[in-house]
Amino acid sequence: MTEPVLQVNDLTVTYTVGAGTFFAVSDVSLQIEPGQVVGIVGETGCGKSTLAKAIPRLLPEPPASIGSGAIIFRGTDLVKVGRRQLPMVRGTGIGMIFQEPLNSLNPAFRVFDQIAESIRIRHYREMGWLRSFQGGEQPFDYSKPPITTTAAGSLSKAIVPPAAEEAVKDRLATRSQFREEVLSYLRLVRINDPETILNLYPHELSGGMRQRIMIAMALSEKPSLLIADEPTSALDVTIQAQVLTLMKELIDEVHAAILFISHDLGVIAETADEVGVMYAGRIVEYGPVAEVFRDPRHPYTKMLLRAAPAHYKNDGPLSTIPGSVPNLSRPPPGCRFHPRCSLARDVCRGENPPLAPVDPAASAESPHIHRSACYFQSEVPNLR
Amino acid sequence: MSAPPPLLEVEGLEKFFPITRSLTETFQRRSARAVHAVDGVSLSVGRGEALGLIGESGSGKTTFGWVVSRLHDPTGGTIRFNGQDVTKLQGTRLRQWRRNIQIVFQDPVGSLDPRLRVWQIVGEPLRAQNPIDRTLAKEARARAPAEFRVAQEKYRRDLAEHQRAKSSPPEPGRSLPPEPQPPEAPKLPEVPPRITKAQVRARVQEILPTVGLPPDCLDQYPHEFSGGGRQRISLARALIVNPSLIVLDEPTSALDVAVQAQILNRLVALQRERGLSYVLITHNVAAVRFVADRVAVMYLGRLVEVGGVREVLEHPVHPYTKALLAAVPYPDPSRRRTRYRIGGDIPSLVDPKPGCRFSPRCPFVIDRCRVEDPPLRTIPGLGERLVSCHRAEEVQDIAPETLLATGPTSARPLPT
Amino acid sequence: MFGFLLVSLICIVALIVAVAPHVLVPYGPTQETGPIYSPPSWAHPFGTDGLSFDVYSNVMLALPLDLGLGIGIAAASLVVGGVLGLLAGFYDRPGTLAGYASVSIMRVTDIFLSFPSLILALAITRVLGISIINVAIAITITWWPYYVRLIRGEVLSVKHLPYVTAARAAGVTENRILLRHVLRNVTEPLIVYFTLDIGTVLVTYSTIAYIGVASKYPGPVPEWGSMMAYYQSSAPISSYPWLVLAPGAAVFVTVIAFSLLGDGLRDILDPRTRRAFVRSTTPEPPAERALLPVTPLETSAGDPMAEGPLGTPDPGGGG
Ligand SMILES: Nc1ncnc2c1ncn2[C@@H]1O[C@H](COP(=O)(O)OP(=O)(O)OP(=O)(O)O)[C@@H](O)[C@H]1O
Ligand SMILES: Nc1ncnc2c1ncn2[C@@H]1O[C@H](COP(=O)(O)OP(=O)(O)OP(=O)(O)O)[C@@H](O)[C@H]1O
Ligand code: SF4
Ligand code: SF4
Ligand SMILES: [Mg+2]
Ligand SMILES: [Mg+2]
Repeated sequence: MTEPVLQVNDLTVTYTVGAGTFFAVSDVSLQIEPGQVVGIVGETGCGKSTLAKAIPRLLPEPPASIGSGAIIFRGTDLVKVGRRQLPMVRGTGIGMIFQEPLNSLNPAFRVFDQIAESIRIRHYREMGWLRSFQGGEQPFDYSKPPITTTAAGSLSKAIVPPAAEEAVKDRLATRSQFREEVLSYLRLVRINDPETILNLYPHELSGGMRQRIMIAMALSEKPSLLIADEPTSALDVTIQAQVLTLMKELIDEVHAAILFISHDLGVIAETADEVGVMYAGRIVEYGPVAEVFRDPRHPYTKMLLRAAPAHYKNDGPLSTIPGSVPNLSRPPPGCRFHPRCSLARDVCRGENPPLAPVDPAASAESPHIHRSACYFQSEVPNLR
Repeated sequence: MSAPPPLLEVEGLEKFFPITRSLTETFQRRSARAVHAVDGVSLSVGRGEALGLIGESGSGKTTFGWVVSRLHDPTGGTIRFNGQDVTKLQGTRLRQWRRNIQIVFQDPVGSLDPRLRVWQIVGEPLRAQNPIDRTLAKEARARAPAEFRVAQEKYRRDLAEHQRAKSSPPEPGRSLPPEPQPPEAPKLPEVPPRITKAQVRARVQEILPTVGLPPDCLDQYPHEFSGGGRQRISLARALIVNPSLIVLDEPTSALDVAVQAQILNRLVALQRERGLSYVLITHNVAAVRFVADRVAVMYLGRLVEVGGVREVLEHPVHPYTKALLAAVPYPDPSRRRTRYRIGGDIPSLVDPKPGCRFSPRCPFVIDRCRVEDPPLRTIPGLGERLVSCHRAEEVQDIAPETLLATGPTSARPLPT
Repeated sequence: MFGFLLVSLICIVALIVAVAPHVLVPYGPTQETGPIYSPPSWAHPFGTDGLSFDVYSNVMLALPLDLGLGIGIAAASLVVGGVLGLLAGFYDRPGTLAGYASVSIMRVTDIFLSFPSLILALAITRVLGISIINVAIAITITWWPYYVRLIRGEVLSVKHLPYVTAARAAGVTENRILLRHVLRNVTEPLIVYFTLDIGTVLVTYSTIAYIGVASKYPGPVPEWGSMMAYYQSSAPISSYPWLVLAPGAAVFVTVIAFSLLGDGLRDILDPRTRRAFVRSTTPEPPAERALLPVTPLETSAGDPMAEGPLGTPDPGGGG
């Protein structure tokens, strides 16, 4: 199987807020093979989460809109999926771990119900109840009780609320059955007292527990593509190590792929096979993680690696990147990094530098080689 | 009382969350079992000191921060602030006291009300504290005449007593009581004027540059800022009432390394400029290293190690601290898969059993650990360091990296 | 914005009819006009019925009443349910008096929600006695629990956000937090839901009227539901379709107008608060009360992609 799990071609996503248009993601291309972990790092607000949510079409549209490009997930272009069929995209093999666990868990539901829901989705999928959206069949949206559209059905529904009926059926048949499965996932993510946690509401959990609930939900769906947006930022390093192992096991089990977004360069270095460095909505450097970290070829990557704090306060301040993040509604022309770049010259202000292979001998076709979007990439290693 | 008391002194602090299952239990409040989120923590934070609080996820760090800020009521123990017991403060006095401790959260989005403008967000503590000052001042004014009357009454009685004593024949061995002084007329406290919008805006405008924000962003909304900018707004809101202590609950873990470095630099500068104290709760060992003066390590509701930041990070004694430090990832792909992973059972916070909390997972566990709580004690030769481990002396020189070699679960004997 | 125009138009027409009926309404409700069963014409846009009453006049005269009932019932439910939901969601600390009150409110709400609202409303009407006002009361009694649940869910999602805690830490009083931070952040979903709900109320009211327990038609106070019921039973629908179609269309147009307005509002409202609608994972079971399939009701259903209209088949049976 050489077909990639996910292929993103020249994706552009904008937000329209009031009169302004924010170019949150510009011309991003990515290719993820089965069994691969692709990491994305980059500055706060550079569009990582936007990219992550754009792939399963989870962005609220409007204000977001996908300007151009293709998102090909297992052969289907998700950009072309119509509004009506959007609900199907989830539950068909893209799992998502959101960045803000408190906002992404439903505050009114106990942990049990939240995880049981995603297990239920997987059951539906395994039993073939989820119809593939490729055939243009009727969509199935797991998050709502089924609704019959005949007039008679509507009338009877007014008399017996379908939600109540469904809920009763579901609960009776499956609650105990789900319980064990839910517990096993909680144990997997190493939550203390899983039996107690089941009955708590999200706000009663610690930050790291919420995050692990999200992870458990995502893993229990057994997705073939897992999009993890800062999945371990609230975990201590020992649990983080275990959770990362867990994700890798998912890869082995279902031959999945992971798009892993993180600020933590250490986690990316440990987890990812390939890494993309984003700056102001663009991927400015991409390549196998060992090469990018050992030999960064974009000034931004270089500075990012240097900003990782490693000393005590009496040793002087931490090094930062001078200047500030560009306003994405008016991105600088040419290379978006030029106002902050010490290598910048006139040419950088004119045309946007292409993502060119670092090794000129490499075949430019392969999406997996080390590339950098800098006119002077050969000078970067000598940068201070 | 020679040395001034530490700014914050916490003794035997406990916070239990009862587990409520059914409706009847909710109604009867009869819930025997509880999550021991914070279980007997004693700690102090000095003036101008930054304390780093690290530890396992779910070990009660956030709960500790909330309890000392009185956002949760403690189940047991005492909190003293500036020598004053604040454990039982309630109502208006509690709200007035709150200006002393502020809190900054991890989530840059959820920390700021999306509907308010920057000056409203940052100025909110001012606008909340002003009526409190007014109420308390008014109350004091209302009380003053009555207090004065009581004092006058007492003076009259004392004077009569005094005169009786003077007129009666002097008893041997008893000196004349001093003549009582008439009470002073009551000093009525000023009721501070109602704070105006213009004053709030001016104060906010003053504070913004100290956190590195342009002073002209008063009327912007939070969503117009990047993550780092929002964290600066949170910081400004915390600073505006001049607190002496700020609880920082993972203030930078949602930020990228470059912005994180800016914020950490800012925090350290503020601490120096204003003599602030911090409790920095984080999983980011690098941030603790940079900001903290002392560090406390928590595991399952208890402190396992407390000491100077350099000493603890470079020479951890407690086995859990060692494991934690051995698990820190490095931005270096060639060191892949060399992180330590703690094995063993997942411990429980519900009515924990006696014995060392780390014993199910500790590579150095002995029988004694399973039955006897290790107290937090000083270790000879390590100065101020406090460690809660029976075998602290024996294990103190084992480097964290060697844990990798011993393997996660093996309870092998110590190399002697 | 079409929805907004349509609703404005309907409201203006209703106002005119209520204040100065002769401007738009040529005949009185029970005024005999001569021809019976005359088909739609310029003189009688919706024809006349078997008693030679002008159908157009009756439909128009019913507008203020039906609209007022829709808005009034929804508003009453909004106020009652909204206040209870706010209190139940915000002051729910277990062990306190408010905590018990909160639990009790939610239990009562659950009990109400477990009855089908239409049947409950019918039963209450029977007890209270048949009259327009009693039907309105009965519907309101069955309607407020939906608002309690909606608001409480929203309040719960807001009240644990860090900015609420930060306000508390700054010394802001609880009541002020409720008004300043919580209430403000739950109003938008509430407005949208309310707008959509007006249509649903109208349909429910018409249904009760249609079943024949609300008001008498023909009579001095025409009402769409009872008009439909009366014409359907008094004249063969195949020969005189306009009699039933006219009030039916009136209901339809009004409901559609409010649905469009609600959808439009949802799209316009601040994108950041759209989170309220696009919460992922398990939603609260949506408050399903559709009588006709024309009212989109997915407002409170926290569908991760709440844009798409309904029409999701049964996962098991839709073979
Ligand atoms: N709903 C929205 N409406 C308008 N603009 C938005 C919205 N969501 C995000 N943006 C803007 O899009 C840009 C990219 O945001 P995004 O959340 O993707 O960044 P990110 O890289 O994930 O940042 P972080 O590292 O802080 O998570 C930001 O400048 C942000 O202000
Ligand atoms: N309101 C609450 N009700 C019930 N249990 C709670 C509540 N708040 C916290 N807990 C429990 O207390 C324990 C400690 O939580 P806390 O948030 O203090 O951990 P933490 O050390 O901050 O962890 P993290 O690093 O993951 O944020 C957890 O087991 C949590 O489930
Ligand atoms: S293209 Fe120019 S401005 Fe951009 S990173 Fe390279 S040298 Fe700097
Ligand atoms: S007391 Fe025993 S079990 Fe606990 S940390 Fe020390 S050696 Fe390990
Ligand atoms: Mg993000
Ligand atoms: Mg925490």
